[in-house]
Amino acid sequence: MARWGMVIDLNRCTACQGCVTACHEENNVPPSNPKLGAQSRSIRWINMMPVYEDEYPHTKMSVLPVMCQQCEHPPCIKVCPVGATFFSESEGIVGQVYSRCIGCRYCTNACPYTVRQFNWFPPDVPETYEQGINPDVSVRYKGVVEKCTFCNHRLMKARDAAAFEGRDLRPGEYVPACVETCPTDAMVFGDLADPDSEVSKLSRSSRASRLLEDLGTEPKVYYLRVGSGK
Amino acid sequence: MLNRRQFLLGLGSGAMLVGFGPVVGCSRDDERIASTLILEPTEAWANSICQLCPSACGLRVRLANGHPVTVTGNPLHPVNRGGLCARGAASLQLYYDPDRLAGPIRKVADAVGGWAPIGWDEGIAEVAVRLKRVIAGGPGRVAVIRGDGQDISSQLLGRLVRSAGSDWIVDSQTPADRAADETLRAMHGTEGRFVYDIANADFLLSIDSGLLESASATMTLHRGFADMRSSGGSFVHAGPRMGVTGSKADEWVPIRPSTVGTLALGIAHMLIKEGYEQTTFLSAKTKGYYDWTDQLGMHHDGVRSWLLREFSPRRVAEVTGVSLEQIIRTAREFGAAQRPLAIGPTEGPASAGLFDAMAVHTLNAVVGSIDVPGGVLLAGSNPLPILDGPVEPPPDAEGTVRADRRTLVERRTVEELATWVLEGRGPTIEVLFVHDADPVFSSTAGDKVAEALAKIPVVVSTSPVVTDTLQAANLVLPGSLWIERHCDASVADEHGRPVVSVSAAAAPRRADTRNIADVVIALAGQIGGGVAERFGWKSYDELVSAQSNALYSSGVGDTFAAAERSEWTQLLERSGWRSPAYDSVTRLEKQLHSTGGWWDSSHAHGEWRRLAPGGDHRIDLAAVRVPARPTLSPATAGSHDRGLLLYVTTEQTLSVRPGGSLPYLQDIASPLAEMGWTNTAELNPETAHHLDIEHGGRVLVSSEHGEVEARAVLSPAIRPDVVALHTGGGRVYGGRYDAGVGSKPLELLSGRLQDSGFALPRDPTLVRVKQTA
Amino acid sequence: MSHSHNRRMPKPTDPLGPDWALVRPTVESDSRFWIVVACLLAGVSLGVSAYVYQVRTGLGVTGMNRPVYWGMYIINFVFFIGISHAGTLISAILRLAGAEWRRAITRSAEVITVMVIVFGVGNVIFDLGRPDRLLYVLKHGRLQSPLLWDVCSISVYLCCSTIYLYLPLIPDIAILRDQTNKRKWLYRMLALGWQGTERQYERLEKAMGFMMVLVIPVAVSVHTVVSFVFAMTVQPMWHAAIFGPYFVVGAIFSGIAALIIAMAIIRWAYHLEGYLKNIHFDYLGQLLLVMTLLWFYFTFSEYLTTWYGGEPVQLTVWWAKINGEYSGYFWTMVVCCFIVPMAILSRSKTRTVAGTVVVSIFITIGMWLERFIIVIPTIANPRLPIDRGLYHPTWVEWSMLVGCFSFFILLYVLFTRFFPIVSIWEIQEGRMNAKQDMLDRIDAYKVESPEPEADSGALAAALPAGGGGRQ
Repeated sequence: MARWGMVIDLNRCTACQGCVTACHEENNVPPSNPKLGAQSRSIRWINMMPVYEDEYPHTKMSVLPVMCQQCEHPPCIKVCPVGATFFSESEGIVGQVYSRCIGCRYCTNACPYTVRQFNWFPPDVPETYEQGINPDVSVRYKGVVEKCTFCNHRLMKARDAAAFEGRDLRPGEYVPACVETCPTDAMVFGDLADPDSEVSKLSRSSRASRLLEDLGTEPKVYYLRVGSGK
Repeated sequence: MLNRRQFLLGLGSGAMLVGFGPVVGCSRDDERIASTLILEPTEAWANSICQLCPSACGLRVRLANGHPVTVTGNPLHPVNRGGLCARGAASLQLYYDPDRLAGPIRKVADAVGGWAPIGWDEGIAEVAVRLKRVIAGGPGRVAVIRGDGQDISSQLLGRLVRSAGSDWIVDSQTPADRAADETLRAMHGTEGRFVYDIANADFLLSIDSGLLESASATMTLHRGFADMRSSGGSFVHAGPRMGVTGSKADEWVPIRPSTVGTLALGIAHMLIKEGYEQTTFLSAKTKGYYDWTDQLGMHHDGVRSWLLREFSPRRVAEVTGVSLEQIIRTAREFGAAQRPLAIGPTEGPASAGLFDAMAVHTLNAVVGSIDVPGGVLLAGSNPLPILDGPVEPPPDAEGTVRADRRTLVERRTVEELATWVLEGRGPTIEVLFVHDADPVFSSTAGDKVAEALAKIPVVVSTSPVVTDTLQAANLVLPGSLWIERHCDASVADEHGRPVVSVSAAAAPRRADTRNIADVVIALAGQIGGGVAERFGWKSYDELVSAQSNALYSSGVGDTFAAAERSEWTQLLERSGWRSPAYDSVTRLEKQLHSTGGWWDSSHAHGEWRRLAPGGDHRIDLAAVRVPARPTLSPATAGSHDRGLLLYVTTEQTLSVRPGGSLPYLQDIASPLAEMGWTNTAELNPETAHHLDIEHGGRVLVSSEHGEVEARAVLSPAIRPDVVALHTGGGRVYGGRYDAGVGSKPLELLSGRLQDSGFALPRDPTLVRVKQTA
Repeated sequence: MSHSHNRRMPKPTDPLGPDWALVRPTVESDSRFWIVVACLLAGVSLGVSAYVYQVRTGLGVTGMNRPVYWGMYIINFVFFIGISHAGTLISAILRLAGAEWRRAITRSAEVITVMVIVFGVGNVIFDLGRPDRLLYVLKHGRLQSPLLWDVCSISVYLCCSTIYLYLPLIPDIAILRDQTNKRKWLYRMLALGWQGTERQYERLEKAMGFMMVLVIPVAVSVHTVVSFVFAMTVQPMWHAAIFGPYFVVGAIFSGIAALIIAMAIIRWAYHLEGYLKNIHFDYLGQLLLVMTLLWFYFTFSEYLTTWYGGEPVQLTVWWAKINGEYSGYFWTMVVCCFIVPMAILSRSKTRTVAGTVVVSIFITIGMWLERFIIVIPTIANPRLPIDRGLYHPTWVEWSMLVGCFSFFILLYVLFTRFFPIVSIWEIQEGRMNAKQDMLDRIDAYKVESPEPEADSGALAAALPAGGGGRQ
């Protein structure tokens, strides 16, 4: 029973957005264009979210990379009429079955984090991009919802590799593309169920908090706020 | 009139259409998707070097069935240690760019679109013939505008220009880089590159540095910054706009635009007054700081007296628009820190000036933060020969080149080149190479540069994608992207340690392109004579082997290794041991390609012969007074009725060489602006309220020089007298994802060539902002 | 229904006399009808082509975006389901209450329900990104999704309403079968051998009695469940316990308005002034007034509690409605749903046919805006400041709305061409028995009193809203 989770240290995060493009590259997220951008319909599995507090000149700001928060009690799953989004009890990952989704967008509205994305159009991908499609991740067509899956195709691969060698998954063998790419190591990924893992130690830090904790969704993405402290 | 039967028929078919139309439409889509899925692909990994910015990070490219599908950082590479920024991670979009050039083209008046394809051999021969004639005509007629000369191709182009008897080697630097260069020349009397050892500082003062959003060399700065913050270092950011950098700071000091130097010296003034100056360092390692009397008995003011006289906190507060109390407090915190470090503009076409760079360097000197851990370092140099140096003997029998002595070579700017051409002084430039640069787009006087380019008979571009500058060329010999060729890059990591990256081609070529180094070698061969003699290599590959030889014989450094091993190596080297991973040149070359490169992981402090090669090995601080003279005019104050102060920033996501369509980056242009694909004008909500501007509304920003459209973004994290715009948009020519996207705030600045310099601090530009429809 | 006195029930072969006016539309058509049909068909084809375009291109042709993932289709869904409450529920309540004045209006009300519910469901289908996978809802349906509750309760409601429409239609079909000579095969089949025997009437009334009791909770559940689609999420100003009853009240409110409009058009088009009398409009107007007040009460409660609680996320949405991007919609809604109805309906002088129709038009628009105000501002102002959306429907969505309305009206018009829109046998039965029924009923609950004058007072008090006999 793994509980895959992530800690993002905002002291180390420089909002360079390397995670964003790495994620999009890994997950075959279709490129946007000026038209989609103007319509606020670009698909982004990770969004940079600036949060402002106070007024000028005492403004405080923080910038958070926000992806699917992988809630332990996901509001999106409850409302799906066809089971296109599901919760993996053994891994704690909220998955999405593109071939099942009917595109009603109930989940996108039920998600308090607004991290679910919808394919308003067929992906406008130039033909030249097609050879660059990551074969591990299926391509979505118009009319379905998609979102961050913690790169669970990587988990499957890593698991297969471990099973082939007849051993358990080792820490660090499975990390999502964003964590792998983060240039400042601001993102730490691992098993929250393992009390000794780095991610679970960091999640207990006094700087740690989760988004909209009062909703009881129990997200598995933790943010360590800017400042000193363990 | 309809009868009932027809009516019902119509109704029925309508219903059928509604019922089945969607089903048919969608299942066809599913088939298309199924056909793109590849089952059980063969997988491979290859190294490469990202050259979208000057960091030159190591890449690991993942190939499925021979095609690159994802990239990640090379974990062994000391610059990025497995990480990548947004640009690197998106770089495959440049490789797969649907609008890349298919091969060499030549401008032909009557062809469709004005260009016609041409064969490589024909193209090279054409340039060679022309060059031969031009060289025969006399010196100074060949020029090159290039990126930053960190790779062999750029250096060979420089070498070609020198061989043709010309010194028109123009590096298309940002004003900030150029200001840093000039500071180094004027104060240290040497060439090289400043490196900020942020990781080891305990108090970082960023004065409009754009450290986290604008800095061109992302990796070296970001990683150091993260380490500094993790180990509890304090951080204060001064700037007109908070930006990402300010959001990470303990305190934001909102200064007026173009007052960087004044604030730096104001803080220096306070440090002197409060007794924080590092007198040992200042008297031993600098000159011009204290007052002195010359041999004739004349008394000269030192920089110290000048600071005390001119930069009183009250005056500085008036100019910068910051409260007295904030300046004094910031100065005290800075002075009291163990390892304080100030960092000035790292990028930014509008705000960076020589005075700013020198003032920040002076501030660092006052607290002795130069050449110490957590201070300003001078990047070490690698043992490779400089290929584009001015004085140089022909290569010896083995094909290696002896290292040139580092001498101060006069540097030229794109604007100087344009002025030279337009004013027709001296020998006319007849052949110009443009490599890895897009000056028509990036210069504040872009249209004048284009005008100058039009006057040069032969302009050869090596760009693999369409750019504004390419449009001004006559012949395009597109270079291969780094990922599809054997490539190299020589940089320094965040601690100033030299890094030489080498990598074999990672992916097949997608277009009829060539390695520009091979093209230059071929050109030289065809020109023959003295030029050919100076290009003794048969190919780029041979040159890389020669470089490996130089690395081997240098007797320092090692090939890349995991971080832990590198630390061990460092420790050994400090105690006089050295055990590189190679024992022969062949092994070295193999190791170079398998690990990604070579680096010298030891960095020695206190090499003053290197830091200040001049006579007494001291830093000449008096230089700061040269560009400073006209500065203390109180800065123009902006207000919503008089006009706002223009602040132009650079978003690193959009500063990509050599341009090109990367839609992933366009979409996330700024982490703060909510939306990509457009220019944003950031305004304080209070100002916007006075000007009747809504969040998200279209606004027109106009100065006396021009106007641009943008989307208003209201943010409490910007001074109310400032409007901030970012560069990166407004390309006229390009691919589907960049041509015509956004606008170009540089058009608001004076487009005159003489104003494009950087030596004098500029008064900020006043602009008006109003909401359109 | 009690049969204390000797009731006579109409037979399908009874001569129709002046009631022929109710049958006339099914046998005669003029060019006016075909023009209307042609116009409506134009509207329908506009909607169909918009939908085909949408399916081919993707939902991006609508004005929806991130985070406004739901737009006009969901608004229309709630709106149409609301309108559908006009019929079955009102008719069932009036029948159950034995309101005599119901006889002329129940049919037209029930037809609205059956016809409009199709468009309510249709709009959900229009909203799907993958309509080709519609049947996954049955194949892979998961009952914890409120959307599944909708599927269940709406399909039950559709079935019940259809049966409930059909049952009282049987005797009328038999009349058409026996007294007209068009579409005989159809009427013969649908009349199910109706001869008007006492046994048949007994069965019919038993079945109707069962259905009218069943249909009321089903109808209430439908709109409650529609509200649950929103209320079950945790989103600000959706997640409210008041939503169930609020939606039901709003539904009945808009339903009555729609019914009044439909009745006025029928009355005008088929010259049925003798059946759909001014008093019907007056009574419905009074009912509408009650609903206006109820609606206002719910709206007031909802907005007051949200504001008083003062939770920032809630207030963001609240202000967006009251004073922000959507204030225009909000205040128009208040004018349409409260101020205009109060002004016109509260005075008997203005509670005329024209007056109630004007009010109904306002209420219909106002209630559409109410659905807009419920759906859009919440999703346009998500909790996290990732995106702030603005929603403007595109021509595709407007075309679909036009298409839906046209198609609905078309079906309604066609219904009136196939079946009598006023229940003939019920009118006849009323004429035969109503007076006696009323007297029997009064007798049944009359308090035996020594003073004879108290009798009339009791009569007045006993009459429910518009109790029978006054026509």
